[in-house]
Amino acid sequence: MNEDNPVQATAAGTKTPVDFTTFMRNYQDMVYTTAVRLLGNETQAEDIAQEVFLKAYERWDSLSESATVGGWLKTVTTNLSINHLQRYRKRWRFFSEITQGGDEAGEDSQPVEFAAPDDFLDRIHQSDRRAWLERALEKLPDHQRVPLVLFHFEDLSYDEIARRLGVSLSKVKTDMMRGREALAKVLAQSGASHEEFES
Amino acid sequence: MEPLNPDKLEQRMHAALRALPDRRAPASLAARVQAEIERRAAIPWWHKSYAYWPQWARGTFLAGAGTFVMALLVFVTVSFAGGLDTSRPAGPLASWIEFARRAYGVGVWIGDLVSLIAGSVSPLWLYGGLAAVVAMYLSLFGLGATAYRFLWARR
Repeated sequence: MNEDNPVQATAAGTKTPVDFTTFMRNYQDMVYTTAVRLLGNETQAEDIAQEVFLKAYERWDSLSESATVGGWLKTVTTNLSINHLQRYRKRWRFFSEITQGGDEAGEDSQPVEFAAPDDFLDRIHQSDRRAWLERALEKLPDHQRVPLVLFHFEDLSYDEIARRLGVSLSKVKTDMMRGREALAKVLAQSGASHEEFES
Repeated sequence: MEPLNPDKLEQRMHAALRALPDRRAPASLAARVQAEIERRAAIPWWHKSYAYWPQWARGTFLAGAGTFVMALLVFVTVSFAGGLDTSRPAGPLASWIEFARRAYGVGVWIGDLVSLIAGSVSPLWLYGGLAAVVAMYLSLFGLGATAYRFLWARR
């Protein structure tokens, strides 16, 4: 038996350390949230979260006493999620993007003029705004949602996002601008009619 | 009402997104992790990758592999130096060497046969066959791409 494995086999079966169970309970929402916002898919996010905690379990000896375990979890979740998306994207990009080409072509285009009223967020400040935002974010295409999440939630700069995703800086800026515009439009519409967003 | 410029939109969106609370993980997540940990723990070490082997197994494997490589090197060196008569090998290696010789002979015979056939077929047939294979591949690829775009990408 592997001595490095913290699993203790008993007559009743295998048990995980109580500390790890508590640790998982404390961080599972953060890990899942990071994954689901990057992936835009709850099932895949649960798979990634499972993989993250299994990695944490393998390194439990060092992680259990680490003060930066939250950062480690977030980094691993982000990396696994982006790797997952890029693997999937490489598999299908030829079919899905061969005739689109709009992203690269849009690199040199002028900044998008957003024509929504200045107070569009304030008007829907109450009630369901958070749920609408989450759902609108989830509905964005990967190339807009991922840089937005990395910028607004993970505090990465534009340069870091471009390097991490392997795309040009101008493409990152264009995609993020379009993503914000799409979010704002959805929110503006949602503010007028919840049902309209649902359809 | 003034249009929202990109910088202001970025600030507004940043504030709105950062105000979002964490989403609640599914109740099944902890159970899934627990079950996978138990499943992995039940797998014997020799079915896992090298990184999960116990120390003694890693040491034994390294020692065994090192010994094998060294023995092979010594055997090849001695054979090519002419210090060993490999035409009449003795001991437990004899049958293995004989098998290797026969396998090599079969390989050479197959190679000769393929080159003979390729030499006797006219280039027109070869290039025609190659073109047919490429055409079939491209047709299937195009069919797959079209099916994907119409049946999947538009969902």
